[in-house]
Amino acid sequence: MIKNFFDKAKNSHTWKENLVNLTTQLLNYLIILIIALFIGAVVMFLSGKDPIAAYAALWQGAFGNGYRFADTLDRSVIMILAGIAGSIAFRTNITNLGLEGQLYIGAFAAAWAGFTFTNLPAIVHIPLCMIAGIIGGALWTLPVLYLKMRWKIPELVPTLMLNYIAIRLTDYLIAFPFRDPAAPMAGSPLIAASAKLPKLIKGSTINIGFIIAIVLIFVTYWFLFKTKIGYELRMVGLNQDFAAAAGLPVKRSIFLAMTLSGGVIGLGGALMIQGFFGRFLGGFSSGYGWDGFMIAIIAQNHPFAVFPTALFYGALANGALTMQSVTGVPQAVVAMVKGTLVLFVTVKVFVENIRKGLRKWAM
Amino acid sequence: MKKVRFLVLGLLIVVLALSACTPQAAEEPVVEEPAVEEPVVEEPVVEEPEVEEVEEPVVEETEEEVVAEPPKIALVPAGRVGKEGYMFLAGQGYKMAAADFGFEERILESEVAEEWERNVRTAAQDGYEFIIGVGSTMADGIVNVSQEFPDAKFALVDANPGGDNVMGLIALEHEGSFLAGALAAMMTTETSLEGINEEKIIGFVGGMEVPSVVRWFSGFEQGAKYIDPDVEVKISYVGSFNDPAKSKELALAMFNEQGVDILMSVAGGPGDAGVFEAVEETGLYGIGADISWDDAVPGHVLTSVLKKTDVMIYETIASYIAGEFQPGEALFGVASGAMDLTDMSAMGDAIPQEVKDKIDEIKAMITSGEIVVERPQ
Repeated sequence: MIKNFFDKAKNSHTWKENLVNLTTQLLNYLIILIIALFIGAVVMFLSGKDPIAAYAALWQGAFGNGYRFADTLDRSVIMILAGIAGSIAFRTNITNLGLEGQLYIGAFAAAWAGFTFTNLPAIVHIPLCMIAGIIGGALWTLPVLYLKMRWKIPELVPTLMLNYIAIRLTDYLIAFPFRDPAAPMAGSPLIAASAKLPKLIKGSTINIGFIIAIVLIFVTYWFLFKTKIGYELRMVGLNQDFAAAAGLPVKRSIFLAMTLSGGVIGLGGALMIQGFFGRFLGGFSSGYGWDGFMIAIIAQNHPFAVFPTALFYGALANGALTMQSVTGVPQAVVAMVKGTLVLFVTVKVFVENIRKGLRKWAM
Repeated sequence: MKKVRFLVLGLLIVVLALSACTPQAAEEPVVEEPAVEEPVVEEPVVEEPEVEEVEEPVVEETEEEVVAEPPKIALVPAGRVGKEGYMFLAGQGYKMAAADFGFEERILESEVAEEWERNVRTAAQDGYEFIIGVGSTMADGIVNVSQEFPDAKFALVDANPGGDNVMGLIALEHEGSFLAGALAAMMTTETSLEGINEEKIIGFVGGMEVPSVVRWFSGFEQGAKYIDPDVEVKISYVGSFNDPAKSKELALAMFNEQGVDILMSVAGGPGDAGVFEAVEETGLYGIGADISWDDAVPGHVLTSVLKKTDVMIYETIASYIAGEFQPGEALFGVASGAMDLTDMSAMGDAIPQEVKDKIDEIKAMITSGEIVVERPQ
């Protein structure tokens, strides 16, 4: 029975089965996307705006020229990292609702390393700040892990609560101990030039953070699906009791998944500070931790699916700005489209029907 | 048969992946899917972008024709111009300039700190030659983008971020509040007005002790002392720009316990509302700032010190079009008309004509340089 369970988890299907599955998924996402965009269009139409012009402007803003495309890629970086952070936790069946808080702590740690050390060469300073971000994000998960390991308190509420603590804590840090009176709004001092990420294209915001994000996708895939530890993580995620019965290190896996998740989103915070803001700003994140949550759900916790999803999110974020300034359609419409996507992906209305239909037709 | 059907499935995947992407991104999705087996499948992939390429140059040509004489000037507010107040005025000034000088409007608004820089950048990428930011909070964005686009010119309302191609448009709030201080000092002895006591005490409620509020207060105090050095100016800071309850409490304390009969409020929109509630409850008098509060409590708001962001932006655009762009601080005080009092019509006849004349006289003296209002710090 145990053997059966593990075999099933290994996804040892034939290539035909895989093809059907892949087509099912793509068709499913296409249908959901069309529905989401359609609902957005209906709302725009009802409020007296031209949905076609709005979507055209959205497209222009996201991919209209080389700069826009590069900026969209840049915006998707934090989405990729947030999505991966979510995926690692969810794969292990840990509901890490604390991504937003871990993002703030990681970003602050990176900024701190950035403005505290001023005489380092870039080759040392850049990774140092990133490591600070990773450690910051990972450390912020430790209280939750302690509660979970020691008293078996589910991580759901503590992770959520720590978000608010993290945001307020960083607000305090930049309002008093690390306040830069010259900052235009509540913020830390500027990080040293040696800590800033080199840009890839002048005039755009895209920087080497994008390359790091792409590499991280492959590393995560390799880790989750090709290593023993990753396998243990996934098994614990599928069924914790079963994995324990089979002698897998459940506690270690949970610990690892949680800290890795926090570390990845912490790195995301570091990339935002080093690549874009140049200093820690209070309330800098427009809900990227929550976006990561949604992206992981839409991507069904697969690192390769995280990339197109995050790119889509980045395009929506970037395009919505242009859409709003050109056509006057508020950015909130985009939030609605995103919400609809998540809803339909979660309730899985179409997947089974499509799969049955395809099987019947092709086999 | 089955093989053919699987081929069709594979094709479908490629088409789906393609349809979800731009021509630019056409190479990427192909890498993702291991399912493509036959080389036949890839042919349409190569063809598609070629078709697109034929269309693109046509679009560009028409664009080049359209690009004509008028300058490209964009407005990037750190907020929304649809709201009343400071941003609204900024939008008005920009729109008026666009109508008068015949350039096309482009306003890129956002309330999110991250998007301020992105909006400035978008405008610069789109070839806008003069980009005007509104709000000191977006200074970082202007600095970053202005360094990467040295050929474009930038201006920022309310702060001077520095740079060879950047203007800082600074309002001299202290000149405007000097007028208000003078008015308050004259009116605090005007006991014919209901509620005014004999004591020469006036008050000031500030949001937070930040440079701009300090400027407001300093001018107010200087104006009062100019009229009568014996006038006492009480001050208290709320500690926030959006705490109506605490603002009201402080205002009530000043009115009821410290003998203040005229109170100027620079406590931020919500905070000001709290102060004027106190004015209404006590039946005493207030002075507004930034925008007109004259109608908030009819008959009890002596005047408001207007900070006319619209004038600042209009003048800046006018001088840019005249070819007079100059990096560094540009100061807008009473002389430029950017700082002014309301016409006090909401008070009816309650303010004596000689007081109004005196204010006009002071205004003229500030304009001519006879009175120099000191700028703190």
